[in-house]
Amino acid sequence: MDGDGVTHEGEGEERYVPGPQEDLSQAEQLRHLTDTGARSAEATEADEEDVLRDLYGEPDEDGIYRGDGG
Amino acid sequence: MPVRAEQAIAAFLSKMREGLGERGRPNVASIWYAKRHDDSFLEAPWCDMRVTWAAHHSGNYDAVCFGTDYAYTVAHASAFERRGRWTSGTDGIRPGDVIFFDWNGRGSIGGIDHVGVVEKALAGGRVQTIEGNTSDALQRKVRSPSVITGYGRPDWGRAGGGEITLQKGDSGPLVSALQQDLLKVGQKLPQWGADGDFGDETVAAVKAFQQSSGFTGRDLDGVAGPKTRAALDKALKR
Repeated sequence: MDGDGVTHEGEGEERYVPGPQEDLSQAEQLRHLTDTGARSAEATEADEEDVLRDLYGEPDEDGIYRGDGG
Repeated sequence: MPVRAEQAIAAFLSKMREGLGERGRPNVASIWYAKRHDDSFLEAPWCDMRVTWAAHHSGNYDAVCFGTDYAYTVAHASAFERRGRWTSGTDGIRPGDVIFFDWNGRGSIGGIDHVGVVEKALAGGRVQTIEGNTSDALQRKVRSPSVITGYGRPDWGRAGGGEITLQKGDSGPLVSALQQDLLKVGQKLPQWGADGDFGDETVAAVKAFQQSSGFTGRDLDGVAGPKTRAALDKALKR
């Protein structure tokens, strides 16, 4: 691996951690990107919908909570 | 908290909320990022590009990104850590903090999968966030501490950098400050004054200021972008 960082491995994933003096170039950032977008959509809290409804009112037809939250 | 920090956080969150529900790729953030770097970013994972975009467009680029564009979450978290602005877990977390997630709960920066911005701190270490690239959309979420690696506290004292554009429909302290500046340079807001809402009256005042500053053609748009801001700063010094 390039730079002075460290690669962590686990559960099939690898993430390159830049070293203390290293700021990754855009090409390096692009190379290390991993898309976990589908996983991030999963609710981690069973009451997520209730909490968001309390804070922002009913979602729109696409399920998006757009209220200003007072 | 200093007023300046409160204003910076409000502006940052306002830009994160802008476009809630935006879905798919390319999108506002990835197009902006790709223009600055490489077309490969158009279809890339965009959660951190959205944070960088909001920081840049709210005048918080230096505070949140330290002068670097981030698409790779691990690099962004490392940047906070290098500057002593990283906290593991959720103790002390508050709105405006940049929050990093690991779906496997490993707790190390190397395990980070995703990023968002805290909109509200809830009880029990839970947070309500705004996140890009959640099911390929910009959404509000509620997150458990079990998937939170930690958070970066932006250096609000360094608020600045990037380019703020204010336009019709915007609201908040930055709009109020713009309106106060317009009044100081002799523009009129007869009905609503400096109410913090960028409505038709503010559009007219910005256009009048642009005209008085010699703007012509497409620059006479009633939008307070970098060029208008520069002219306003110059007028305020007279």
